[in-house]
Amino acid sequence: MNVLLRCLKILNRRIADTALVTSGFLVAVITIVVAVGVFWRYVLNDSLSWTEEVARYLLIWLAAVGSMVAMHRRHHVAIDIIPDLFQGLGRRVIRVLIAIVIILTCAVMTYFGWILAWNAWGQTASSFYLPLFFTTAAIPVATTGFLLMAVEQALDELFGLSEADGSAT
Amino acid sequence: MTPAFGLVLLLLIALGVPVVFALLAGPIFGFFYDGKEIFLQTLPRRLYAGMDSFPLLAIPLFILAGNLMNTGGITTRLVDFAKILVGHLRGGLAQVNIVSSVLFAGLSGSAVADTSALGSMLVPAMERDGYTKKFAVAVTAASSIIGPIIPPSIIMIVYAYVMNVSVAALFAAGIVPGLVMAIGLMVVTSYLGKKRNFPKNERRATLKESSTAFRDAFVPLMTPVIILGGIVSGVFTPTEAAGSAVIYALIVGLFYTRSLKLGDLPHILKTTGVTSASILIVVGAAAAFGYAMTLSQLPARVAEVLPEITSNIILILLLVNLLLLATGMFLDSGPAIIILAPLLGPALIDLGVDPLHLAAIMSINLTIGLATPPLGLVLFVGSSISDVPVATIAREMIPYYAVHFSVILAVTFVPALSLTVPRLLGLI
Repeated sequence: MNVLLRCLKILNRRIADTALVTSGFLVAVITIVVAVGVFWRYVLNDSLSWTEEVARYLLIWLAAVGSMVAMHRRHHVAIDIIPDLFQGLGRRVIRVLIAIVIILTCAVMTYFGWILAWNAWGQTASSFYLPLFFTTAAIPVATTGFLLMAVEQALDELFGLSEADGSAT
Repeated sequence: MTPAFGLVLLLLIALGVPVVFALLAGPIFGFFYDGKEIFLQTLPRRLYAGMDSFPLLAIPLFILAGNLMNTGGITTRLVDFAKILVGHLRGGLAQVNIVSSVLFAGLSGSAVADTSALGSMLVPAMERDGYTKKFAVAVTAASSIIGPIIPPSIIMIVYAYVMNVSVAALFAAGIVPGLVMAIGLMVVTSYLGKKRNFPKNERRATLKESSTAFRDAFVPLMTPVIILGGIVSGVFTPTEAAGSAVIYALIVGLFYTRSLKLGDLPHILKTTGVTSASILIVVGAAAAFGYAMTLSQLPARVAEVLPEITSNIILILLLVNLLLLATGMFLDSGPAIIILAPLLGPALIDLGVDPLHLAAIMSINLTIGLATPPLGLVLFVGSSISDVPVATIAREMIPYYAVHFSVILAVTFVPALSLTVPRLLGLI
């Protein structure tokens, strides 16, 4: 079990590191695309049709990868009053329950998310050729990431690794 | 659909489940409970569609512009400029803190950014000047609330998106309440200054110092002019204005103030990405939740029940404000507005409240929640930059809370406060 958890930790850290770099990159590209749109529209008086659509699709991917980082750092907005009321075993039980809720939610979202993405193969973006699979896939990719991280958090609480070596993140 | 899914949401949030997952788990529970598993497939679609929006692009861009200006030495220049304006008053640095917040508010849309940027600079300076640390943090936190009230404002972009109001009009509606709040905080500060004998800088800035500070602050201060002027005049969409603000901040930071180094950019971009993604994913999840809420006809039921409690609109607005304050104490303003606006909005608009007025009330009220215990992001940031416990800061802030609450009441019962500017600009 410990080996499995350790592998999961390494995997999740890789995912989070990659996602962090990607999200910075996406912010840069979004800025450039929006700026190009403004420049063409106001300076060259010639609206580009693709800038708005591209920026929107990049935004969805930004939300997906950036929130995976937030999940890994446990930075998503939550109210910690009840978990903080307890100590030791009580807090662990609550944290495992929270992780289970996240796991179940993300399992449902991932399953139907991949169906959504799969069905979007037939649709394409309106201003250029891109199957919408590549934009809708952001949802199941994100929820898969959340799922893996929630499993790690649950196992951490169950096997007590969180104080030993999970504290670094 | 069973309204119990709303209860599940509240239960899960109370238990400590992150809001984004509670927003999705509620509808999932509801669909299973009703045996309508066929609807489950709509949730990822709604989550996707909820984020597929051009106006929402303004969120990462405004956050990026704020982060760039912060690193680009613009904050320092604003504080220097505020010093020549009010630095000679009794309690000078406390007043400087408030005025800096107003100036900063025109550049950034987030109270948290304001607290960390101004706090880390002004709290040590105030301590050196003889203020207690807890008071220094309290002024910083109390005035940082002005940030999201004076445009640009992330919370207002979210509200406008969820409720389909014009961002430009809502931005314009925040200007006067934000200034009123600043004046109120300054009056209270000068009263406290006399009572507690705050330090007073005898020497006024010379004309030469003043003109230098003004010259240094002039270029950064053009940012709000670009942002607001562009949006309000209808030339720019908020997203385009935000994009232009980023480019402007980049040029100013790299070539004019030269405090921004190219090597800083990767870190700034990554921080911006993660901060904005955590907001966006909640907005998306809220769209999924909102769909379930429509199916359950919960807002329609609120609209039926609300007038039965009382037909007195003043009383209803008071109750709504209490509910918002209570929510704001426990929940971040973004998620709170996302859950409450679609639930309460239709009922109140039915009762004759102006949609824009309601938007102003909700945005300002929930913004104040950022500085109220037990859970206020601004208090946490203030505490982490100063090592003063959250409870101590909150106690020190009591006179300032009085100002905050008076502003909410004023905005609620004097619609002209928020609606005059948008009206003059022809936005409504």
